[in-house]
Parts: sequence; structure tokens; C-alpha cells
Amino acid sequence: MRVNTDAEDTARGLAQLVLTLIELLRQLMERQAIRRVEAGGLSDDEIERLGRALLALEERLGELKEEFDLTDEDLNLNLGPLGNLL
Amino acid sequence: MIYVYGVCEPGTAAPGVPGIGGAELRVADAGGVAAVYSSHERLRLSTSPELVLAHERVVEAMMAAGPVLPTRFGTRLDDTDRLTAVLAERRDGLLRGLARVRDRVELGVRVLPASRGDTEHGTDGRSGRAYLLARVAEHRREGEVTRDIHEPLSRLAVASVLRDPPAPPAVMVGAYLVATEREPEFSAQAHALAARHPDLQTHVTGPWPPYSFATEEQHCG
Repeated sequence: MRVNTDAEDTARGLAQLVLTLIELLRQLMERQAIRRVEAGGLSDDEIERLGRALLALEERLGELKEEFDLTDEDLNLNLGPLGNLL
Repeated sequence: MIYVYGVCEPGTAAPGVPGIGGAELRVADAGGVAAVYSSHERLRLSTSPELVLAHERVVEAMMAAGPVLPTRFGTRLDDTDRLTAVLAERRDGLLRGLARVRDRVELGVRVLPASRGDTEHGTDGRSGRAYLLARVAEHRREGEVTRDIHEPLSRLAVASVLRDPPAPPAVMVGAYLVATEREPEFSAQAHALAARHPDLQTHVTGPWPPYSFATEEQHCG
């Protein structure tokens, strides 16, 4: 069992908040990209670039989650009347 | 400081279970609605399983006695004066809420792919195009599953909430407010619908206290 210092707890709590917001943004970007692909009119090159940007973001997010020992469940912040963020 | 577990009908007795940290449960009555709470000198909250389960146990005990509007885990107020003031302020909405959940339970339905297989988001060496097109295909499938599973189930429920988009790897995540006596029928229907999609696994969970239907903003009939 890991015993966290207060400083570690604070850093992790902050990371949890920040990464949840980034994950939310990533999902919004992803949905927008999906809509654009489904609407048609994107060149293969544009699809490739959009996909690579999303991939890079997901990769980086994965690294940060690992660094702070956070799972996908940890990022599902509950905002009260707004429900879960993710 | 007080920790609040949920809103219930006035005249409710304090549930016979311990609160967070073993604290004694009390009831605050605000002439029309009531709330169950516990008092604490200081309270350091984290989402540890013990604390979340303590909260859930109290809410479930409340549910056994009558309609309850559960609060979110971690709901704290300065003191009972503040609590009774909030209850009085929001009395009408809370009464509507209690009426909305009376004799009803929340059931959760979560649909996952049967095998993880190609839904793994492997990011090494994948082209952006392959990744994005795979996401487009998943999105299309989520739409189909929503139409095939969520829509019929939402007709059996009084109200329903769909998590949009569902958190991966889930393809569909829904919460349903169902009359208690219809729970077996709902469950049977969910499994029947799932059986039509052998490439998916469907989990029906609950009955839960109505966390997803506690506030008016959440309610969508």
C-alpha cells in the first residue's frame, strides 16, 4: 500500500483535475473529427493529419496518467448536478 | 462540519447503520423535506472504497425506508443551519424529486464488446488515418447499439440517461429509472436485446439508489 505525503496527494489531485479536463477536450475534438469524416469532403491527407493529432494527444495523455498513477476511472470526475464529467 | 447523504421525507428515522468514519447519523427536518447527515470535527475525504461504501450503505438504508434523493459523494456543509436553509430554499424541487423516484429504482446498462480485440487503442506505429477511421466505425456502432438497445429499454423506464459518448471500452452506458415492480421485466428485456448481439456483452446493474435522477437537470423522460 502506497503511503502518500500531503504534497504528493495535492499534486495527484491537481493532476486528476487537469487530466480530466484534457480528456474532455480530447473527446470533444475526437467527436468533431468523426463528424467531419462522416460528413465527407476531407482529403486522405487531412484525415491522416487529424488522426495523427488525436493519436498524439491520446498517447501523451496516457503517459501523464501513468506518471501520476491515474486510471480512466480516476478521471471520471463527478460534478454534482452536472453528473460525471466523462 | 456536516456530511450529507441524501434527502428524504420528513419524519424519517435515522437509518440504523454507521455513517462515514463510523459517525452517528442524524436527521434534519425542514418542514416538508428532510436530510440525513453526520457531524464531524474535521473530515479528510478521499474516494477510498471504504468511504464510498459507507456513503452507499447509508443511502441504501434510506432507500429501504422510502424515497431518497442521494447526494453526491463528498457533499459537505458548514452546519445544520445551512442544511435546513438549503432544504427550505429548494423544497419544491426536492418534493418533485422525491415524487419522481418514489417506488422506483435505478438500473444501469453497460454494453461492451465481447472481446477486447481490435478495440485496443494501440498507438504505436499506427497511421492517423487508420486510427481515425477506426474511431468513426466505433462511433457508428455506438449509434446502432443505442438504437437497438437503449431505445426499447428507455420505453420501459420512467426516465433514462445515456452517457454520450460512453467511456471506452463501453459502447453504450445508460441509466434507467424503472418502477420497482417492473425491474424483472426490464432486466429480462435487456438480456433479450443483448442476445441479439452476440458480439457484445451486456451488463445490467442495480437496483441502485437514483443517483442519476436526483436532480431536475438530470431528468430526461
